[in-house]
Amino acid sequence: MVARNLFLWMTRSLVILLFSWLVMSLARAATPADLPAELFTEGRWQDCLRECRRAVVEAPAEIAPQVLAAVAQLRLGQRDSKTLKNLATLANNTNALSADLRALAAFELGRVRWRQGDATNAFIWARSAFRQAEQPELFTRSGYLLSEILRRFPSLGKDDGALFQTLETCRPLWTPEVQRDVLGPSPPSDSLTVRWIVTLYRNGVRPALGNRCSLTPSCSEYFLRAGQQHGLLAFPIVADRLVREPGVVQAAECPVHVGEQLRYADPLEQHDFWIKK
Amino acid sequence: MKKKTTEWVGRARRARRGARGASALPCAFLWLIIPSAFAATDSTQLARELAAEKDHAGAALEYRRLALTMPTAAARGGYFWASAFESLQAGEATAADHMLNRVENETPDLTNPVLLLRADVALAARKWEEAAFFADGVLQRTDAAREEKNLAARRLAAAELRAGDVAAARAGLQRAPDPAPAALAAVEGYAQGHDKKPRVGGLLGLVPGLGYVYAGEWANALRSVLLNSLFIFGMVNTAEHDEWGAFGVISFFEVTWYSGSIYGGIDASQRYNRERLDGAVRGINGPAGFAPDPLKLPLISLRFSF
Repeated sequence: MVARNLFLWMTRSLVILLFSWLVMSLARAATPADLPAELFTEGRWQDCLRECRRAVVEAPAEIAPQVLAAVAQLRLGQRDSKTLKNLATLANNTNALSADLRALAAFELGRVRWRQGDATNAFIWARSAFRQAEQPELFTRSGYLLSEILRRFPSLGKDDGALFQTLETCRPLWTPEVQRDVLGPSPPSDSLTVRWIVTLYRNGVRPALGNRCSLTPSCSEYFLRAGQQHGLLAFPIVADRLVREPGVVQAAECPVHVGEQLRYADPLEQHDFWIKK
Repeated sequence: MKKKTTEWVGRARRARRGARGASALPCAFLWLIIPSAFAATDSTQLARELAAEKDHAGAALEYRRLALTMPTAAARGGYFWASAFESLQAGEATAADHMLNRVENETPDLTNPVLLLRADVALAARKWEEAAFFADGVLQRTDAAREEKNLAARRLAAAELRAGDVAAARAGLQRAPDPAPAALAAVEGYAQGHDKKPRVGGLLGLVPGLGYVYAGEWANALRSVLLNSLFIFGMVNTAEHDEWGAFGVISFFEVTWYSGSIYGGIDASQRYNRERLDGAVRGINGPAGFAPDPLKLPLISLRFSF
């Protein structure tokens, strides 16, 4: 009898345990809270922004999606004062945010301020990010940003000698990828002759002719891109394009709507792939 | 007999009491699972609608969200696979590859659909060797369906042809369970044709328009001849009249047209070769393709078309 009761008790306990596990796993699986963070890590800013907005609508009390949304907005180039102010408030919210999220907000603010030429505020935010960051990637990136600021404006860190030493020890971590991520891609080097001709055409000739090119990108844009990628080789490349233009229009293989007009796609990549091989 | 009857009644009563207590568990379970099931149905419908509207990137994201809400690994794997498929349709090969990695983590036994999609992703990313490797993987598997093998053989042939190996492309097609005469004819047609030599095109381009003629672009050749003739005439005319300013301007344009003729000769040959290869690959693939049955997701049930 005792054995039977013990068996029943154990069976019931097992059922309860299994049920609790099932409920827990369902509850965990039912909230895809990882999706905004995943998209953020992948650098898909537009998608991340949309998912964060969805998360904010579903759980307005959650602050983490608000931080990710504000950072995604900045990465998309939407640097309005409201976003910056909102992010600054979040970066100072020590109660509801983890140190890493505060560091992320501070790093983004430092990055934006540095690009805007506001070295003092960039330094303050970058130092805040560097001190709070626990995640290695964020620590490395904020360290590199801070070192760039101090390299140009060493007087900003004159009261903090230990900071220079700490940054010096981090130097081996600053790979070209980190540098590119922090400072953004370096602007393409133009061929000055090409830039000058395109400017002359766009200001002096195009207003009289109108926007007549039937291809996309337009011939002047094509010329500019060719100049950026191949220097003076842009001249034969654009001459070939001008000779081919009626043929591409006649073939009409890749029609594209640009605004209200129908254009034909003829990207540079289809005509310089063999140079890059 | 009476004792036995009483025993049965007692058991029945106990069972009823037990059932009353036990019924609470399934009820609670249903209460929890039904709302999430409805939510999943809504998202599946949205994903299907987005895919039908050709918003493949949106559909990929919806399937990915669905995958993250699924309680079982098999369901997560199925939706991740659908997300990878839609990402590929949206032209996002890297995202598709990333999703397929997650499918493999969740459901390692979903091999054939993953290999087929991986071959397509590698082809889209212009990684010919990888595409051939995955397609070959499907052909080697004993559990692969006939249609899967037929499609894999075409993908293998396309990858090998892109990599420049005509014999391997032919051999790949011959490994298909069902013969594909049109695809084989495309490979044979490609093997019998000849590529244009870009160097020859460039050299011929020294004579304005001739480089285009070499690649069969007669209209471009005519335009190049007319433009070069006009500007050379302008150069000669301005030089004869000692108008050196105008001569400089016209010469600058003529140098551009002339160098364009040489560049065009090389580029026209490259275009010719690429179009010939693209045509052969189109011939190999034909309308062959596959798509998941969206109504059966997260179960991956592929529909093939040849």
